Amino acid sequence: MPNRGWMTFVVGLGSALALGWVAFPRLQYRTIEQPLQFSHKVHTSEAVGMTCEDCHSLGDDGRFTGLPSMATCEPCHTEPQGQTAEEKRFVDEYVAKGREIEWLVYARQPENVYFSHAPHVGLAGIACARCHGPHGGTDRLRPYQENRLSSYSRDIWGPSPTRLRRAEWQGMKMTDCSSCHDAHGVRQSCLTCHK
Amino acid sequence: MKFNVTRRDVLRFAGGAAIGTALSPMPWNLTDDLAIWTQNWSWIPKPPKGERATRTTVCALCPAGCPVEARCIGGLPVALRAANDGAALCPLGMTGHHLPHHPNRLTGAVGITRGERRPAAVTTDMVVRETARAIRSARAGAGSVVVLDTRPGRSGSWAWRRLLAGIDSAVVAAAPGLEGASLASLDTMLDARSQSFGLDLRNARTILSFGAPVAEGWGQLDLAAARESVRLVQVEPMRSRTAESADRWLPARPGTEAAVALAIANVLLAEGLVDTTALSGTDEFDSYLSVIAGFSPDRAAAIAGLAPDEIFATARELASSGPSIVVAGEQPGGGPLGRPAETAIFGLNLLLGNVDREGGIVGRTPLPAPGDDAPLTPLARLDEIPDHSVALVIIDASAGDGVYPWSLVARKLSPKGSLVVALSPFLSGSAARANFAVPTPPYLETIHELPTSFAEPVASIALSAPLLPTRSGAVDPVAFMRSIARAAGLDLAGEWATTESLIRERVARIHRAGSGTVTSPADGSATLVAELSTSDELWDALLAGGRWSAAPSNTMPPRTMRITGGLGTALGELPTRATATPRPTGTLTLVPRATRDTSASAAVSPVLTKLYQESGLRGSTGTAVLNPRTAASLGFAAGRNVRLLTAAGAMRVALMLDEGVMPGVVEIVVAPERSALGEKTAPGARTVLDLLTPGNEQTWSAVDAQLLEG
Repeated sequence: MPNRGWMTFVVGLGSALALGWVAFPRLQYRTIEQPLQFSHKVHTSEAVGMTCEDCHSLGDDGRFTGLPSMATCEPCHTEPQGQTAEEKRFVDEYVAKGREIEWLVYARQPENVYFSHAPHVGLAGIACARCHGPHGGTDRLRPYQENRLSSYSRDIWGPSPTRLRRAEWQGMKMTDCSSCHDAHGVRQSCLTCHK
Repeated sequence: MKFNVTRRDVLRFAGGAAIGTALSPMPWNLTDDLAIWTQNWSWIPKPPKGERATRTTVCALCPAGCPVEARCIGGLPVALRAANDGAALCPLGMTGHHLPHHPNRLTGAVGITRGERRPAAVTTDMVVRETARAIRSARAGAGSVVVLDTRPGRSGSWAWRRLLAGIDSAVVAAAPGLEGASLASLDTMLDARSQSFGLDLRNARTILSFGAPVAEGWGQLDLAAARESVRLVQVEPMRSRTAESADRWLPARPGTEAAVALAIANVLLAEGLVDTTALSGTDEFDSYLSVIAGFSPDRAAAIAGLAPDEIFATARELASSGPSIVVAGEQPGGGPLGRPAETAIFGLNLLLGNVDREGGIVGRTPLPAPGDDAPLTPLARLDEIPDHSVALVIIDASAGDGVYPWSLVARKLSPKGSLVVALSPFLSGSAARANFAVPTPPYLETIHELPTSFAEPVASIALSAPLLPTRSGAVDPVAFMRSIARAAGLDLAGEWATTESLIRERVARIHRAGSGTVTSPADGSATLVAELSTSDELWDALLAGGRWSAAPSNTMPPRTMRITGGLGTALGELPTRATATPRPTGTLTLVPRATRDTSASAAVSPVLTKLYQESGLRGSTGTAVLNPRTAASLGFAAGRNVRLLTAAGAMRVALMLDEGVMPGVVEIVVAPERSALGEKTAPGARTVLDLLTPGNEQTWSAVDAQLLEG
């Protein structure tokens, strides 16, 4: 067989490409459901009329409050709002018992990264969706995809294995931060983010 | 069809697989994931998550005692900043919370042998036994006992004096070159101990400073705040921050400060600008007049490399824009100017009538002692102790450290046998030169006391509160003293057993006296001590960052003023000798330098390598800085490695060029040491400080040196 040499080469090439492009991305992350479903869409709808800042606000001292605690939810949710099973579970298991929800945070950065919302939101006036995407209009929380090695969210790398053809808000790697800083002429140094 | 797998098939498959893998995202993603995975190993310390809280305390890393606001997460301080609005911490203070995690922190007592790369672990009990044995030998006549105190005036300083009171040959001395050391010359001139007077810099209208870093926090003066009312004249060879901030800078050659001071005195007297009634008629004043007669402005200007007009203008400004005060300072890293120069400089205060006057040298009631009124070991200066006479040196560097040539201590040690024990949180600075080093808790892990600074016009005290638990292995200095007392059979009465209990005694005495006020760091509001019902209230106010200040008592008891400090006509010998002695061709004046913050601490945060070793903004240890013209005359270029040669030896240094350095001078950066920045170096290894041999005047601020090829 004169082409046998090429065949074995192509089989090796194809196997590696299949492993790298198909199997590896599936193996790289494990999927975990959020402990509770939550509709941003309902809260930001005209009927309710809330904004991102109502729950994810900056404190007086410039500190970002992050995810809202039960104290933020409780005033409206002492009784179930609506008929959904998730709402009933929320009230029964969390509000009534005073338990905090252990949300899996899509945008949590590694420990060695210091990020402050204050200069980005307060000074630069960057909209939440610039980095977090159209999260505020979703009706369900998508599953959390945890990297099996690094244990961080897939949102840090972004959905595409190649990081090509992705939306502006997809990905939170250091290169994403620095390219935005470069584009806007913002000075940066190692110690800006790594204390 | 038969398909035999050959070695060639395997290689072709592997080749295809390798190319396929490289063309897939797998290796690149894995590289990134692995990098983050290595940051998540369980043994890598991570800051805890938890409640955010703010604590106010006082920085204890240098005697300035700046109020500090600590941001804590989960009880762990994660950021420090100045507690008072508009102020800023120095780089050392801003990163002070890194120091408990410093790579060269001592975790147990160690024994250090010269030439060994690593120290040997020993027990604290063993160090106590060896120290007690050395004390017993000293009492039997083997030599004297000296405690070198790097932060005099603390309750711990008092405890050392109390502990050693039963030993005739024992003294407690301040470590050489500490801030305020030059005031010892003023002690002699005013026949007083420096605890009994202060410098009223805030109320002065003109400050003439000879090398003191007045714009960098020296003397507790906030020069930026006082800029409208204070004029500063700086006499200093280097273009320091203070020189840059001064209204007039007189760049006198290193070692010629005394000539400038005597020439200013010459102008003051020749033009009748001062009233000398209080001084005239004494033998000292007659000697003084004969000395200054030899220092006309023209001669002094030639010695110092200045224009005579600058000396005239400075003298006239001192006389006309009073109250004025003249200070001699310890240049950071460069040590004191020496007694003759300091006497010549402080003599101007006596001429100008600055003693016992607002804006001048004012009386000060000392801080209450923390314990009983039993006799104490006398205080002494290290240079007063005879060479080769000391059997035991205990260096108390538990609250800070100083930068000084070790030869100053080494020459005091008895050749028949001696022991050096250091108490320090870090294996760096003084502790690295000792035979034994005992770990003490660093800043933020225990209470540190900030007693009256040398320059303050009134007594004061502040406390640096612990924000972290003390790490296992750290030994409380006062508990260590108790152990020595037991082992050596020394009497140490009193119930205090730890540093905290001793400081509490002092605070209780302040409360009982009922005078003075506590100032809050948050809003500057003052509370009268008399209004606090218990000493616990005063204690709590101090632990929250408050500072107690005594009521002003600006009157000094009548005293004999000795304008030559007992030196007589010898006062003029130093500046005369400096110009009379011929120097070999190519000799440069070596001037050691450091920043004020790093010269007060044995350790700085390793993150500051960015500043001291990488940024080029501040020099790193062992860098020699030359004026480009001097370098050109020697045929050297920037970045070149050359040999720096002094009477004490030679060392290779890297050259940097800077127009700000005076021609004929070579500046050498002496702090922070590499070990202070966290590098593992052999304890006791030679540093550039070892090239500086203090002269007869115990000063190493200007030393002859040569730069050679190779």
